[in-house]
Amino acid sequence: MIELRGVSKRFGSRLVLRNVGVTFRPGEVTALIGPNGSGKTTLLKSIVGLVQPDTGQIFLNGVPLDGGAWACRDRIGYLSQVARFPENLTVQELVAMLTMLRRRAPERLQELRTYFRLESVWDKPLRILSGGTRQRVALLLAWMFDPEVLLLDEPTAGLDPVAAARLKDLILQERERGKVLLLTTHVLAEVEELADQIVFLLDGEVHFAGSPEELLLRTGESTVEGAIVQLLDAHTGGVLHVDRVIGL
Amino acid sequence: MWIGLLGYEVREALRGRWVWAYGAFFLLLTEGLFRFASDPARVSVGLLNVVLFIVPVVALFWALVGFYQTRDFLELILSQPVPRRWVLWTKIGSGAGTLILFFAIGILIPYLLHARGQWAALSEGLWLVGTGSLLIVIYYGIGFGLAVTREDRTRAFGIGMVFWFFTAVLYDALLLLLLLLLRDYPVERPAFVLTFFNPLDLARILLTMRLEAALLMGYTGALYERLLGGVLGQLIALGVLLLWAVGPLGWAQWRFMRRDF
Repeated sequence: MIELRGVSKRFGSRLVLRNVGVTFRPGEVTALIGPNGSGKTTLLKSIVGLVQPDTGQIFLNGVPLDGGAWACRDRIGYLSQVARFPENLTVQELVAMLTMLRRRAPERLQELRTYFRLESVWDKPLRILSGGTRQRVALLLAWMFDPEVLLLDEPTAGLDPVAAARLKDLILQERERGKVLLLTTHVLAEVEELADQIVFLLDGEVHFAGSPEELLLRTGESTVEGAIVQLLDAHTGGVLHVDRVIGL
Repeated sequence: MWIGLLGYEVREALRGRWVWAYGAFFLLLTEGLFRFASDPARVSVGLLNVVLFIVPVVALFWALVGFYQTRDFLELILSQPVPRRWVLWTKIGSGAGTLILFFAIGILIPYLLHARGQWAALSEGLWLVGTGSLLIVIYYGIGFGLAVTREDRTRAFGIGMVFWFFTAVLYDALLLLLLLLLRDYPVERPAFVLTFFNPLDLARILLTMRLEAALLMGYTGALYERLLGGVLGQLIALGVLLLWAVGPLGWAQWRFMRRDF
């Protein structure tokens, strides 16, 4: 379980996270939603230690994730928003390097390699891979040590429909296995399909955290998608119709 | 674990062409100088200004490019169960280390070929390499610290260039101007202290004292020799240069440990 207590973060004069307190439980998929710049990526990066909060604490199964708790990252798989790797390395070399850093053999590597259809590019340099293939490599890296927490920043971005569908299946399988899954997305259909919990962020503040059913009840909408659009409209005065179009 | 990471970083650096070109430049230059002037002392003096001018700017740029080009990949490494400190020191160690390695190879091979058995000449080559290596560490540390603190790479490159130009060209000119303006006052000791603030000045003083190149010594070098004598002057210049190496690296570490990615 991951718990955030009063987490705030400021970049210069801009407050990107404001007193965020939220819990992510095992066996649940949480969708972090909100417009661009609302603090979704900063929240994920704070959990994995890339961003250091100014105030507040983050706990993984009760253990505080502060600067000295780097070993806890062994239990976390993180997918960055942008899949960029050293161009000279092959996929195989990249996997070997992370294996060396984790000091343990990857679990389910063969299975995941097949699942993400990476056999044909295994010994190819990363510079020649398409954006979608790089994203599949990044997914493999996040998954290959079978972490108990998966932080996925826009996981379906750049994937073809088949790969995106397979990824969603995998996310649901991992939920059944009791993992903590946290994803950010602008695709509202994905939220409807996958999320057990929805956290709506705006200007770094949590404006809603609860189940899809609670969201429906609160907004009076019949679909999660409609409810999220209403949330966005209510808090931004309809400025974010672009997200709605993407979602539809 | 950190040895594996260091090995990876070094392999990556060796895969690039620039570091090979850098080594080849010094190899060809030193070899060329030996062919034109067979006297190793004259070769060392010839190399002196090139080392003082080229080495710092390349180290500075190498650090800046190395950081910004691998910034996204750093995110991936830092999201792994690895202490930040290790990531920092393997990055600095591999970047500065490969530059030092190729610089040393480029300079020392011709010395070994042409000055075999001439210990005085070989020691001059070693002093050039040692001082140049210190300059690499200093300017690499400054470049890395700049890259860590500046999100905007254009601004970081700009600041780096200004710093290099200031230390390589402007500082000496300003110092000389100051000494001329204050020539009626006893300014020897303040001038001596002012050299501490420019690592390139210190490196030049150290090398000219070692090479006994009186013509290149300049006012500050002569001051060192007059105030402190040869050996003490060299020791002080070397000590302050070592402080210069520690300072920027410490600053880079302090910023890196607190940086958000």
